[in-house]
Amino acid sequence: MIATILVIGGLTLITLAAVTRLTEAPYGRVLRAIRADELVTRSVGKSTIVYKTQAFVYGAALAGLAGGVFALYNGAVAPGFFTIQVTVTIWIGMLLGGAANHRAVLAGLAVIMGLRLVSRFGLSVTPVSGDVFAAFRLVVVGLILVAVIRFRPAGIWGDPQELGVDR
Amino acid sequence: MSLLAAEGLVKDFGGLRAIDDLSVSVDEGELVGVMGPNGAGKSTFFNCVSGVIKPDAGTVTLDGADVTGDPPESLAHRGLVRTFQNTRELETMTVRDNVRLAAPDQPGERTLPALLRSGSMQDHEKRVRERADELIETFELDHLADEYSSNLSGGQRKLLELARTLMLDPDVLMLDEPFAGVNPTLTREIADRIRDLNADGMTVVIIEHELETLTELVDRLVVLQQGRLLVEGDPEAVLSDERVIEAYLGGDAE
Repeated sequence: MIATILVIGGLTLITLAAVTRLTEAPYGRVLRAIRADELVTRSVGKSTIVYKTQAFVYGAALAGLAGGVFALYNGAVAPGFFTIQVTVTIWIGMLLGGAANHRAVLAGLAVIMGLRLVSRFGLSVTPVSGDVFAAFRLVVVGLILVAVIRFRPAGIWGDPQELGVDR
Repeated sequence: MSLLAAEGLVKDFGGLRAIDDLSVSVDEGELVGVMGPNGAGKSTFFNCVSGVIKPDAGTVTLDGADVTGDPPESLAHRGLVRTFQNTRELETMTVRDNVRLAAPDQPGERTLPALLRSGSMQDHEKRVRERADELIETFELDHLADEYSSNLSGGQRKLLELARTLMLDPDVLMLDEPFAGVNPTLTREIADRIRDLNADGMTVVIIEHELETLTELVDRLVVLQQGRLLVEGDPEAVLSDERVIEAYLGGDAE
């Protein structure tokens, strides 16, 4: 158990370090500029299509790594494990923590995953069936998403000015 | 030989011909003003030349090379940089990062040097930072250097945009209404900067409505009307030309 935590935690830290290095370098500056205004970024001589393709590939590679680790941990994977709910959960975790801030995204994911754990515990003490409870959990997650967008559009730890959202 | 030349440019938007067989050439070291009533095709001309849109016909040559329809990023590498009519700041970035971004040939903008923090990348970045800070200081934006550019006033945005383009040290600078919405003091200041740049050998093309400043500033005026070249020549002569007066003050044009 401890070994698993160490390995997965270590991989997370290495990935976080690599991504942070990349985004703190001038490379990240170009990515932020594309987010702000692609035409301007092209006008100052950056080939934005290359950066957008690379960002997609790196994101996909990281997702692949995570999927591989997940398969090792679980001992088995099946297509049914990766429903739209996985994507939505990760996405909500990112919005909740604060996009454009690596640690905030991790914290947001921790909050969402923590919520799942707590709710799993909640299931065992409430008298409703599993199906009803799962539906109820989705409602709660949806409400959290609405609340974040309404009251903290940049996420809990995000910077509203950097993300260009009104407070 | 002309540094920048547009030959027979045509651009249609749906049924509307925005520019129609337009030929304009600019010599090296020249300061040229482009004017004309609203809808004369000034911005379309700029967009076609700077690669933002593709002309339907005609050619654009830069320093002897055919660059018709080349994307803005490759034109920037060839030394042609432009600004935009409605200042386009990277609002979610600081003033400093706005200027630093434009630095050409930064190895740290590629994945491996960025990940490895290679020595050449760090040295380069150090020079980029110095140069950016210099430009920010020249344009008197240093007290705002760490502000997000969304907090800047209209005039300050124009200055920032100019500073950003200068980071690229272009051969040809195309300015789309650099004085629009700028107060008179700042207008004079920007005009002085443009004059200095031109005196140092930079070729500058300016679109402007602010006629007084423009005629004082430029060597040659090009007047467009309904997508065509109406008159070009010495500013004084152009302004007293009857066709120009008619285009601006009425007649069948507006």
